[in-house]
Amino acid sequence: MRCVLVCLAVVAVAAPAFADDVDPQIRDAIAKVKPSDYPSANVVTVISDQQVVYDADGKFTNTNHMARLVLTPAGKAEVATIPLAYARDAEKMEVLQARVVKKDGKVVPVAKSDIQDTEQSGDMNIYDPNGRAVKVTFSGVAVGDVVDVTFKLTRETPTRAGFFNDIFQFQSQEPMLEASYAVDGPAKLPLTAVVYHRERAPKIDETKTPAGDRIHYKWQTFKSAQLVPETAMDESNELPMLVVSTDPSWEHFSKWWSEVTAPQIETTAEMKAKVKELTKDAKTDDDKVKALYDFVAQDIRYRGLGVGPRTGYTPRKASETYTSRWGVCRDVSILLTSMLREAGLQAYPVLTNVGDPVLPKIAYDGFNHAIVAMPKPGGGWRYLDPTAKNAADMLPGMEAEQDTLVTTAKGEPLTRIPAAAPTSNLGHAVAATTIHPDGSMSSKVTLETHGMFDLVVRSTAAMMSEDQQRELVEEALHYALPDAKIVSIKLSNALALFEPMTVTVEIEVPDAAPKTGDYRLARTLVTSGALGLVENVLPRVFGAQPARKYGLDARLPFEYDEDETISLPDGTKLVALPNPAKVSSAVTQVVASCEQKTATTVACHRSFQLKSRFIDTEQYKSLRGALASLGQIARQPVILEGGK
Amino acid sequence: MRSFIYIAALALVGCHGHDSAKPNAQAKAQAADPWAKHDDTAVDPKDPDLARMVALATGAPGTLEYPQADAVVALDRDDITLKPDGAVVHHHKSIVKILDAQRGKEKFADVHVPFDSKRQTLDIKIARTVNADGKPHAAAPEEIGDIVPPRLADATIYSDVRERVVSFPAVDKGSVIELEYTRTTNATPDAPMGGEELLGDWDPILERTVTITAPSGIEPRLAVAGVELKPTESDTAAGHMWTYTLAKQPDRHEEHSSPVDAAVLPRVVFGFQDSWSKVLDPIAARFVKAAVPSPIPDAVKQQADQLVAGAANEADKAQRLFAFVAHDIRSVDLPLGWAGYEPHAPDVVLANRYADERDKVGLLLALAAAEGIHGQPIAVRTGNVPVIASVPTIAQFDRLVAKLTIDGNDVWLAPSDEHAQYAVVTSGQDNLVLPLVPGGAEVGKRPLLDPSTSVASSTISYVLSPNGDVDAKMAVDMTGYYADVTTRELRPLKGEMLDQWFQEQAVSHYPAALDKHHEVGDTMSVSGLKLATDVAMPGYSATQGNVRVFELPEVGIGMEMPDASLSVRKYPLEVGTPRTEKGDVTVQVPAGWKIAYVPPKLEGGAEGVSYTHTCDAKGQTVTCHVEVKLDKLVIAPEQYAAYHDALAKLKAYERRVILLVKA
Repeated sequence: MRCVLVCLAVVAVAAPAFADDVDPQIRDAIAKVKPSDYPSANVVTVISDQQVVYDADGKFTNTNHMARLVLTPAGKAEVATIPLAYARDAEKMEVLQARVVKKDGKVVPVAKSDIQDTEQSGDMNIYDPNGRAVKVTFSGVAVGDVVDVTFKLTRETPTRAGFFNDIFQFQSQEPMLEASYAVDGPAKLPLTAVVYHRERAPKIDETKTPAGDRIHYKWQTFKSAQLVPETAMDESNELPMLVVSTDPSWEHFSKWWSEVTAPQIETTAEMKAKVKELTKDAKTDDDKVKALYDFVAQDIRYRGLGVGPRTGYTPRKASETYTSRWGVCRDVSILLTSMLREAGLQAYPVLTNVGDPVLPKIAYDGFNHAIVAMPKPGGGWRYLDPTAKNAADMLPGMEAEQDTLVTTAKGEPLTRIPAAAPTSNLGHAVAATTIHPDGSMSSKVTLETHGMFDLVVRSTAAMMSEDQQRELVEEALHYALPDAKIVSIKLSNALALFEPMTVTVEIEVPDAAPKTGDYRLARTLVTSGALGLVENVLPRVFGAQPARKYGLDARLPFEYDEDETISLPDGTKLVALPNPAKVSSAVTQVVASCEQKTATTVACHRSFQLKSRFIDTEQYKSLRGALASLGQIARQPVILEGGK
Repeated sequence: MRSFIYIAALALVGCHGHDSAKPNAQAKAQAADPWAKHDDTAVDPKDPDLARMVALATGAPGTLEYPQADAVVALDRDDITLKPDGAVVHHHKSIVKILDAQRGKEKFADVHVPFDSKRQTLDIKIARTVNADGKPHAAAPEEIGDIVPPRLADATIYSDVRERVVSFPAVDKGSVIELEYTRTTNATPDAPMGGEELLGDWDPILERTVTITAPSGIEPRLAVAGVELKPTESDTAAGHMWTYTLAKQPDRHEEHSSPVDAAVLPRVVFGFQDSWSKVLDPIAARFVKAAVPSPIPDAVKQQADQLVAGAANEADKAQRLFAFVAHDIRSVDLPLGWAGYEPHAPDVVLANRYADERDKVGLLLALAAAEGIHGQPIAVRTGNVPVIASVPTIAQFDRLVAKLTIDGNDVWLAPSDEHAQYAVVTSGQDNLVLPLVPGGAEVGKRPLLDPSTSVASSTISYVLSPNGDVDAKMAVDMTGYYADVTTRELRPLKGEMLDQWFQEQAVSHYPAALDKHHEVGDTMSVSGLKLATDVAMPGYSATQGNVRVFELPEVGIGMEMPDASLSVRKYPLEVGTPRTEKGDVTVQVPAGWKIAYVPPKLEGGAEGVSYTHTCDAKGQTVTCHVEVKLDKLVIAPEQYAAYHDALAKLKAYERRVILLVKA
């Protein structure tokens, strides 16, 4: 009996003594959660609760309670600081509580000096004087502790007067023990809600409770698994996600932005003169479009500034952007729209999202980019992105298959930009190679580019001097052919936007076919993988994992072809060529072959085609197989007799 | 005042610009278009800079003279004046003509000027653009704002350093921009009383001037590195002035893997104190008093006792104390001096569990002192920039490390690197360092580390199946730099995240590879790291007729040799800390195949690198051994060709293949 009492006393001493106001979920987590429960996590989210109150005028408050338990030493750094961004001219940010709950139950409040209101960091060349961040630094954090913070964002100037919308994730890169989103809103401005991928979350409890002239909505889930992200996944499209909105339709949203942008679309005298000057030699409407696009894309630098209440939706006046020669996407879209209209062409600003497609079922603030649309004669839209300054197609390939909202006075539905054919994003390397009797090699290769290949090569070339371009090519060549020497290099003018972008390189390799026993092993430009964008890059970018849980978003379909004619010295006996490969599926196609054409000529061809931007988990296996087959033949040289 | 006038002028231009209905609108529009050329440009005699800018905007030099340049810097002038009250006034003025539409704007159109909002004041006097029309366009108030530099995003708790971003309006190819500002550093014990200015840049500079002015009775210490240049001297109202001028500097282009600009471009280093003891006076005693108070606070003593309990010897104690500070105190990355030089008290740092390197070094010294271990804070310079002994100023140093005396030996420690290994400090090698010792009077030389301090040793076994599949087992033992780099990647990874990392490593060697199993040693260790992997490589060595080629992967895991991909270099190659890579490889060949070729023995090297590579075939087994030593921090351009050739030989295809023929 005495032993039992002693043991109980020990337990009583060892159990954490929590302050009264520590949330029971936090106490429970500190007591029960072990790192081994979550083998891939450094931190567990114990509580992720948001309580939102919105009013009919669109103003709202969001009180966010986050509690995170540190599982590992690496987790300490992940929770150590939290930046709470806000816009000073439209929002207020208050930290209601910030503290560390130690694993022994002790509560250490964050000192006032550790809560700072600071400027933001000017990301993306956007310097908004009203862009601020309240930074909370938690001191004394150790493994086993919980950082516990509650902050309140008050939106004093609504993005859209009279409307409210929001999104909430039920899964994150940390396991979540409890997540809830509660909204209190006026009955006369009710919420529409959609939960995407509900089946990927644990059970989501959902309630809707009228209370006088208000309605209280709540969504809550427990024990949401950790998301282990995969490369090239569309997180917002793959995760269980709640979207709430009071907006009646996308058309309504379109109409609203049209009203916001309309006063900014203008042409001043100098702009009129500029349009006239730029289009004076244009013979067709397309010539006019190219001339105006070229001007806006090349001459307006990407630089942003907050304008008015920081909505992110209010563009500067076209004339301001024109005069200052800087602007962000919304500004340049308005300028190009204005100039196109001045030239007598129909054009409209467009909202879109670079990256993940927009969640389509109800209208909400799901955009991060603005471009321009022009109606096509037979229906549909032609899109132009004037922030992509080196896009010869005027719309980068990776913006195809994105959702767009063209903004017109009557309002437009959410529309998806059609998929592009793989050959519209084509890279094609053509090499003529000669192996000399002494084993050296000379070769001339030309790379022709279209679509995204053009954009990537052009952008890279534009940002480098000729010396640096040469260095880059040399570095790439030396990856596969360490002793290659560049004889000449020629790039077309990257700034001549509508001229084809080509790269022509002549090289010499002193010992391209070294003697190895009785043989020579020849590695040419194609057979060495020196031009092997697909073999060298894509396996790591897209094909590293043997299987995926989520779909792969390659951003665009494309094709990359390599052709090489290899001339061998007279009398050379060919022992073996790289093996052929042919793989075809719904999403990829690989063709590789080397054939002896004459006694001294070999022709090698390799082609990789990615047929689809979106690749599901089953299709991924065939993509990986295709990449693997290219990896295999990349290790197979041309084998010649004549060693020793 | 001048700024105000230009802003008013800009507003006026804007008003006219909206008047599109009047006759002759196009002519007026051209007048408002900053790129329209005019013959009637009037030059204000009171504004000679404007005349110079107009001349530049409408004439040479341009892309004809500098076809590859992003811009041509017509004037780049820095005037640094020590005031009698100890304040330092830095006046900057530059005039730049943009030559390249994209690169030029990227580099010059949005300028970031750093300043410490607590210790300095910054006054932007002129920020304007002139184009072919000759009219100045001043940056509007909303085009000048302050940001937290991205690298300090997590360090605002420590530092008041900000950047004032000046965005020039109406900038395009051919624009000429002028920037003039004054930054005043108040006289405080934390003022570095010196600094350095680059005398060159990557773009061509027509006129580069740096002046140093000191009041009567103070003679600054001055030195120039990277170019032969003597100052001219003159007397001014503010004192005696030393002027360095370099004219007509050529267009230059950075190369990959070069050391930092200060190690490559010419620079002038200046200090207003006449000895290292004067530099140390206001810093060292304060540092030691704050960091290692007497007596040591109880909390620090208790922590130290707890950490060293059961330690076998003094080295064991030091290792435990170092591991605690490195791992348990979160590092806030901040260059030395950006938050002053006086550390927080060690018990405060201990309680906070976060610290910049000044505080981490301070806490380590306090913990060591609590256990009777003597130590010193040492200021070092990173980036292979030589410290100049003749110019005493703390501004020559950008990092702080600790040196403990263990069993009579110096042990260098870098606790601000959370992944650092015990007794391996890579910064400040082969350079002068400054011990922050009260009463100290000199800099000391820190030698180069031996390549044996950082070793990656791999043992790899390949078993080739008759169908071309390969099973690869690899074990890697890493110390020093290698352990630091790999720990940095692996420590945050667990479970599926770690699985992904190993799979990505496997695929980087061979696209079809599958990581079957992996093991990771203790990523919290400060004395090395071990890894082991078992990888399947289906179809790795396929048959080509009667022949198979077996390609030996590069030694190491995720590590590559220093970048020697350029054939020639104009600037030095940064190699990094001295280190050694070793590999022992066996390849088991299936029955029915004869080993027809293995790479012949190769021994060689050049300045900075030496290696041996041997392979032998016995029966169905090939064994290879490779060892590469790198023993220079930097390879000079004149030594680079030999270095490149040596590595190209080592990487040559015939050194990486085994040839098999059907028996």
